[in-house]
Amino acid sequence: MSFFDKLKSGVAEAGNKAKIAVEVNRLKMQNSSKQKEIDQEYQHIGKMVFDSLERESMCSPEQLQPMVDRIVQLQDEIQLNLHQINAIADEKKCTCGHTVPVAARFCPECGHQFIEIEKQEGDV
Amino acid sequence: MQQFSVVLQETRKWFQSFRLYGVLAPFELHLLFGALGIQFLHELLYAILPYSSHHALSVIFETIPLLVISHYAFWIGAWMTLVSGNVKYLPYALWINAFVILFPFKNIGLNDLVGALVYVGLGYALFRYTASAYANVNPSGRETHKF
Ligand SMILES: [Zn+2]
Repeated sequence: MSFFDKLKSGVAEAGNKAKIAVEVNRLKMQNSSKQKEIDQEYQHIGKMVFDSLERESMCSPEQLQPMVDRIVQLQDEIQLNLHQINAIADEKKCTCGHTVPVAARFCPECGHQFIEIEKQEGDV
Repeated sequence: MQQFSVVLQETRKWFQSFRLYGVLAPFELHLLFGALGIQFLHELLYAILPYSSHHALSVIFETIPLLVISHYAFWIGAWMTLVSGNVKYLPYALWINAFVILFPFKNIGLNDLVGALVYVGLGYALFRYTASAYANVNPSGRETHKF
């Protein structure tokens, strides 16, 4: 391989890495603002419960339901983003919390065997 | 943020009425980061080369005038990237620009500091925008110019 070929592939690889990093950072930022919104909803719920306790008339679960729904939805979206981050970065997360390459069959930390993920990839 | 997104869409339509935009648009990131590279090289060479070579540098950067060209290339690239699906790269360009303004970190005046802070702030605001649901960001990074 000539010097320029090497340089070219090096630059291409660096560009690819930068692209991945940019996308991962964007998704992480997205998740942190989603988490902030979840915290706001929690606060909202807390305030409603507090007010109702002070008035000594408990608010009904139906009143709290929209906020609960929103929180569940946001949590789902966060999980989806985490999966996407792993997919982009060619990584997956073990149940022990260790991050391993997407092609790994066993976790080097805890020895966990990845079965379900392999199946999922087979489906796609 | 939704209003900002609408503004960007309209700006893009306006840009597209110029034929030059169609010619330059595929190179928006090259313009943007190339210009930053030239500006950084300018600062770096002046910082590391001895005084005797400053004349040659001034021929390259001021007489040719590479530095002015790179300033305009940065602005053109920045505006075109802003309205494209590559907008997610623009915050990093703004942060790099702040870095280049401060580089090589000596004789930093108040105007450099204010300029750098403005770019860091703008970059952060834009980063927040690109992470929002309103941003028109294509995940693959390319096929920006269909519309
Ligand atoms: Zn494990």
